[in-house]
Amino acid sequence: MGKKRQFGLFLFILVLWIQLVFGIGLAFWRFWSIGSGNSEIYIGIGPSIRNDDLIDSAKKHCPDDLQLFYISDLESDGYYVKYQLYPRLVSVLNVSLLPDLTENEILSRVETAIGEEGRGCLMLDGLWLEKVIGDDRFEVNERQSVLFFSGRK
Amino acid sequence: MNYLAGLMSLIPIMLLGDLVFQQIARRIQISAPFALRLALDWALGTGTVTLIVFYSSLINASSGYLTSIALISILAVFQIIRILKNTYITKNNATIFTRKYGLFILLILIMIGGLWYVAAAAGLGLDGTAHWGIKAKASFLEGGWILIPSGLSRFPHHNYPLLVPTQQGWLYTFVNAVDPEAVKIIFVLFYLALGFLFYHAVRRYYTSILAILYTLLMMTTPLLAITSLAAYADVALMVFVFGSVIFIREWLENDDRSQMILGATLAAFALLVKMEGMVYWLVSFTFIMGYASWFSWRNNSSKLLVQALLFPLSAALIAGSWFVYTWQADLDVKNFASPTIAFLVGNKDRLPVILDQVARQLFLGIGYWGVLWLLFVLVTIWKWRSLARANAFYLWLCVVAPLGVLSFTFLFSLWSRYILHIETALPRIILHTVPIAWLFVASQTNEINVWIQSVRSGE
Repeated sequence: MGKKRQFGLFLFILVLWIQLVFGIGLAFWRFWSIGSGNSEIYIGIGPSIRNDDLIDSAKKHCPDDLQLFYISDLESDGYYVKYQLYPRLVSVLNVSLLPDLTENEILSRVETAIGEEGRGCLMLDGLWLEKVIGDDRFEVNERQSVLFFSGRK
Repeated sequence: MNYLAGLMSLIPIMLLGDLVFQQIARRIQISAPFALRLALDWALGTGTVTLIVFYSSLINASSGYLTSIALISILAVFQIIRILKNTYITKNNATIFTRKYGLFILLILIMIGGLWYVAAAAGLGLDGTAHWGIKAKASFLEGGWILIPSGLSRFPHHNYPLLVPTQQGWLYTFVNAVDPEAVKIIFVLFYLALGFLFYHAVRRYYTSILAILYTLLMMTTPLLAITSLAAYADVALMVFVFGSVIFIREWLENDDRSQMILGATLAAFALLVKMEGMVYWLVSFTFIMGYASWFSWRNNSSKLLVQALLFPLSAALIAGSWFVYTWQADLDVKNFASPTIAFLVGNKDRLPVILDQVARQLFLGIGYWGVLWLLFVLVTIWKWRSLARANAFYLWLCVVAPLGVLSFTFLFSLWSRYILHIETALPRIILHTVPIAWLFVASQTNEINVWIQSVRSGE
């Protein structure tokens, strides 16, 4: 085998070794940080807020015969809420996929979603909670972060 | 307790897989090393369980899992009796009770335990919750798959195939609870199965130590290692696609019908894992039919062409019912527009953006791939002459063609922010080709083996 070819193979093996050490090191580091609870896995659209308080509150306070609604700022949150509350069906209004809607239009959609009956549970957090409470179209009773529609004004 | 029940749920799957393996490729099973046999038992077992649960659910949705468990338990007992009779292990002149196999099993159990511990702490991940987890939870709570009329349409991404959530629902039925931690064992096993298959494929070129090192290289490709811990379908798809590719490749070298049957079966099961499985199936199908037609015409023999027909036949038998179901239930998710010329022309401006994204991802995504893609390109240039050989070209094609086709589909993306669609989907599209790309690199650089041997012997 010629010297040049040997040198080429040596370089190739060196690159493989670097890749191996890099790969094993990174894998161990990530496995370690995940195993010790310091890290989560996010692949694809970015992280779910995992709003477990909101979900617990909905389970505890919203009667089975009421429709559940959820305004989601992140696509992943909507999926997570649906998964956690299944078999109860949750109507998710995914605001992140409707970037052109104004705040007022979103609240109108909430109003439409509630339907003729005008009763239901609306799961909200943070900013949206404040907006709906402050909107005079809705009459709400708040228990933690779940709102109960007792009718329209 | 859930973990123990979860482990118990895997035994019937493995035994069923072993039975199927024996029926479709007995000769390969007899000579298969233990690790390869475990990997194929797992792959064939999960695929067959999915089919049985699917058909049981069509008959009676609410007892889909229980009917399947009863049927598969009978088959598993039948297989245990066969194994105890030692009908084929002795023919291989090996027994699983030697010290070597004992150590190997211990090592596997330690790996499973360690990975399971870490994976259980990782949650299901976004897709694991949104696409697969909610279906698995529903199928468990409802006793099986409510398929008619259009029962899956209540889920997001309702047209996605059912292999992964079926395995999860199967485990939940044994555990009798929805346990997102215990269920992670399924994904750990797919990850290890991929490693065993890869080791089998590279062992032909290298000593066992070098083959293990190459396997570690593949398994620690950063994005693959991380994805293996989430409850995603990607690693499962890779097991079926990669398994299919290595047996089809062996068929190209040996004209062995049982290798074609095994490769075709795994490719057909890939159609039940993720929709991308269809692209890999079409690439293999096109290549196999082209190669067999050319070979038959040149040698005036139809033997290879007849064997090649087993590829579409297996897909029709295994995945046909699923596609008939999705077609009649009109399950369709509009992520992409119909591929019309007008739409293509209208979106031609996207092409440079897509190419830019793909190039950036492949060559600058060091944190995801290391230097794999740089090596792939260098080896392609260095060994371009070897691509004239069918088996080498097939491997190369199974990397390049799916990447090209799937990247091209973003021209038809219906997402308002199609760049977000690319950024979201592209890493996992590339991920599916990782073991094939590593195998291509390994198979084309086996001079390393010769060189190391000569250095060691002081020549």
